[in-house]
Amino acid sequence: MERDSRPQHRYYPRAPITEAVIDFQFAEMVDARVCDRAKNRLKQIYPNTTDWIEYHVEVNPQTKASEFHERVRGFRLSDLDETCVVIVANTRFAVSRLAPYAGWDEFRERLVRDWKTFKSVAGYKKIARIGVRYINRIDIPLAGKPIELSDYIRFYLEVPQPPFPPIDQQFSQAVFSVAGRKIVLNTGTVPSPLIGYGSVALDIDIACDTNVPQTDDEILSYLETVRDQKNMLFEACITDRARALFEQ
Amino acid sequence: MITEFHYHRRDKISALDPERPLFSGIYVPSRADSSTARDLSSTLEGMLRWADTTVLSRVGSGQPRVQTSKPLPERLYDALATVKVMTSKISMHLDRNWRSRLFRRLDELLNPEEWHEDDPILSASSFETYLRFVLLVRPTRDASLGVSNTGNLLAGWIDGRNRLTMELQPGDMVRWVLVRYVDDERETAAAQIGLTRLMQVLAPYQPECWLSLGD
Repeated sequence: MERDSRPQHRYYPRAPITEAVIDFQFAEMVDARVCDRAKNRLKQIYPNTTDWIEYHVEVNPQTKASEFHERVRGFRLSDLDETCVVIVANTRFAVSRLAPYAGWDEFRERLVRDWKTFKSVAGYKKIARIGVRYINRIDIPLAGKPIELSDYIRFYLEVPQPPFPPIDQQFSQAVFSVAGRKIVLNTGTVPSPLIGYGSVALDIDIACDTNVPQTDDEILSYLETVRDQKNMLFEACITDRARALFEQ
Repeated sequence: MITEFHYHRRDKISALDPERPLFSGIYVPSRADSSTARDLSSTLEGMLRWADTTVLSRVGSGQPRVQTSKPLPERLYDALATVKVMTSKISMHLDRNWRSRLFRRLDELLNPEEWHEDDPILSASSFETYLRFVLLVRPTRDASLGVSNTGNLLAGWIDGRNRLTMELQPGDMVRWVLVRYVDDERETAAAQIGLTRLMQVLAPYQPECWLSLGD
């Protein structure tokens, strides 16, 4: 029997993923009427709709003047539980899944379905960038003592202690370029939503803006490789003690 | 590497607010004049901007979600969306069926047809206290939900003649009142305390009869 060379993906009953995003950015602006029609089609699946506007603000300290430029205009659609989100806008199309994460297969199927719906209205649009981002929050029980971060994650800021006291708060970002992909890794302490816990965010973003896949087959094949890569990076960033938290 | 997670710091900022950036607590250093200082500040600000603005659930139209000037159905929709997104942030710690039942009760609670124009809308910070209560205490029995005249979430449990009602207040505070029959004698009690002491204070009244505590 031939051995599958692809990495095995671990399943965690309590996956720490707070949000997963797949984001396509277009090379050219999409007409507002097209966005509107796509929104109306997608509304059958995502009944909650709000306008989606992103601004860019320019401040001139000399003249004390500021200018607002509308950068993105479109719609944010979500399901009744507010966990499945789609953005249809003049510069981008994105699907997002908030916790509880239901797994890659479900997420990919949603992308395929919603992208097909968008394309049935918009036709072919050249994609300038594909981004895949997974934000994890690891909730660590305090048990009445400070946390040794290295017990849980393997990517963090290290300072000599002493003379430095325990760290109150930290944030690190590393950027890597691998085979035409830009990988951005953010980690940092974040406020914990649980009483008696400390939380650390582990944010992995993998983007491609050169030789960007354009056909559906190319896109899906590319996304599978990104999935392998982000899982490998995630596993490399955590320890068995962290894994135990997601398996309880 | 030792890291301390201070309670006071966590208490000041909401961890569940859907509009709040992921790393908003990070400090940008004091102003300095050298070009190196400017480069560092600019890099740090850029990192934070990137980390905080590219996530779909966090970026909005720049307007607060619950505005009093909006028509009632829209305000209710915004409140419902807000509390559902807040719940999603901790849903990896919740039983899926429990979460579904909670969402059904919230749909009923914030149904525009059951609401009067003058009624206060459910406060997100009160709902945050409820979520923290749930994660701390792990009640397995569902509460009846309501909204107080100040917009705080009310949660109530009935077990025969025994009743427990809580008003979940912003900032992990709870006001509760109970009626408990012991040997056919009626006892009542009420208090306003922080969440962390709640179960200690309720212990003499055997709160298991209302909350059915579990994992």
